[in-house]
Amino acid sequence: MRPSPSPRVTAYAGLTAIFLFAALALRRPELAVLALPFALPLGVGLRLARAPSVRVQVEVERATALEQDELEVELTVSSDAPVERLELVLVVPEGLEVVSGANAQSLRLGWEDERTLELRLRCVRWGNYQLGDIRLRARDRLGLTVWESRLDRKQRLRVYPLPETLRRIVRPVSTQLYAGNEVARQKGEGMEFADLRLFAPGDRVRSINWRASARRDELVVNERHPERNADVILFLDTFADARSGERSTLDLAVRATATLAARYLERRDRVGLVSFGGVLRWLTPGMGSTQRYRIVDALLESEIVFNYAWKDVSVIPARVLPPQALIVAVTPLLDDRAVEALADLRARRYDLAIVEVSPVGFTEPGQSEADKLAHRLWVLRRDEIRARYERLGVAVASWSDDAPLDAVLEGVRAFRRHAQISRV
Amino acid sequence: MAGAVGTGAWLAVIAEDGYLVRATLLAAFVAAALLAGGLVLRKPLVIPGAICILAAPYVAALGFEIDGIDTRAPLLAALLFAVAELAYWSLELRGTLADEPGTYLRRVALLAGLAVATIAGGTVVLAVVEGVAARGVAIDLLGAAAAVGAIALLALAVGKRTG
Repeated sequence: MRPSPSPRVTAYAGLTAIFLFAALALRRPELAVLALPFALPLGVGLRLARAPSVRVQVEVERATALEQDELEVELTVSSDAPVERLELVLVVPEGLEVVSGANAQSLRLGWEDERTLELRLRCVRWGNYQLGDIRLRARDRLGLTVWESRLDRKQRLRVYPLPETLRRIVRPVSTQLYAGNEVARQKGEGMEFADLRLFAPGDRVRSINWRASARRDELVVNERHPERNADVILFLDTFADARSGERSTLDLAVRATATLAARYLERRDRVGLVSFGGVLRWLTPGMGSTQRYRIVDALLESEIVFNYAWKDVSVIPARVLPPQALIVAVTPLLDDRAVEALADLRARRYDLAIVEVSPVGFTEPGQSEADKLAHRLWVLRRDEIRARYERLGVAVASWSDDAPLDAVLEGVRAFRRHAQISRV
Repeated sequence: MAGAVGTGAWLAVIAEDGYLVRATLLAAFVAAALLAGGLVLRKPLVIPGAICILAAPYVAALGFEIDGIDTRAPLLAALLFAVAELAYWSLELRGTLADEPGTYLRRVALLAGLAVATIAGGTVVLAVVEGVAARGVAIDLLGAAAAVGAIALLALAVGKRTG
């Protein structure tokens, strides 16, 4: 621990000198007596001060948690020699908050003493956190010397975003070759009835529809839709976000993306991730629970990085965007680069659906008439962007945190149903 | 703050000359105001200044009014020390730290112990001084050398710690 004198030392030394010099100058022993209470503690205290050896261990109840979860953190403080006053602060990162106990405490330790401090933290926001940044300050009995140190007992804590309730998802237009839960548009071996056709050599006998054959007086077989999986790319826009207090569009977007990833992976779809922003990050499509954790871990690293470089979809590796993949974009539609990139993806004939995390609720129109007009123009421009996507056949659902994601996605599904009929 | 005001009031009470009484009250007011400012702005540097201002009228009284050994000096020393310690403690204990139960009691006990030791030690010093006062210039020189030596030792100790 690094020692430093407390402000008392120089003050008491100065007072002692002043009173003693005054005593000598005025030849008054009473002034020497005034110096006594400042001189004696100083001499004795500095002589007896010994650097404390304090050990601190940090234990976090678990390494992973969900948003709004509470978890216990245990600090074990021990020392061989007495410490009159040990001030201990566990720095709690932004995004976590102390529910009970105190992260800043003062202790008095005796000979070979050990204390355990317990505190309860609430995970307010998703993210990757490092717990264990501890600041120590020890004082001697007379408060003349201060020892300070900083300990780094790294304990990693991953707080996953709270999943949204989502019963139904946006179904892809095209499916892939592997078996899955999505009823394909193609005909083949499957469960779902598709159509009837005349028997052809090579058809299995069990596929003959005897009832229909009896009516038509010729052999008719059932055709079925196979169940296939789909490729789904979750496109997270991290160019910009709107923030109000502790809420931000990025928080909502990450929560929605994590929920969508989980739901698609449950259906045995291959899911990939593109975090398109100041820093481009991607995950190639994959299946299973491993992919789910990879996606969520990647989402925890999401942050807004300001970057003025123009980016389009050509910077995304081709293998990340498989042909006929469904792209679900989660974006606040605040940055023109993201807006253009999505239009570009549609132009490349990707099946695209957009969940717009609305930034309107995060902004205030302002007081002056000019501010109000500017706000109205901004809202109108956003409407125009949405209308532009709809003209391109892209469903856009506007989501704010006061509405369930399920209801918002229902709007996307309805739009896509309508679009399919109009194409036929 | 209350300690500073109380000490100033007591010094005003024991001062005899009217001019000195007014000066003492003024000094007490200035010292208390300085202390209050320092505590609010968290500037420990003002504490020794406030103590000096608080003690200044007594030094003046010793120079102009009081003849012979003043036996009230140990009490005043304890009061000044208590004011300084309380001011430092109020700075140290302020903040968001949760203190263990008994912290304040231990501090008050320590302060009381130091104050009592100051009074006892000061009384002994004054008694010794009174006993050797008539022994001549050699004793005076010895006392002066002891004072200078004490200052030098403290300066060395402080310099070693702060250096």
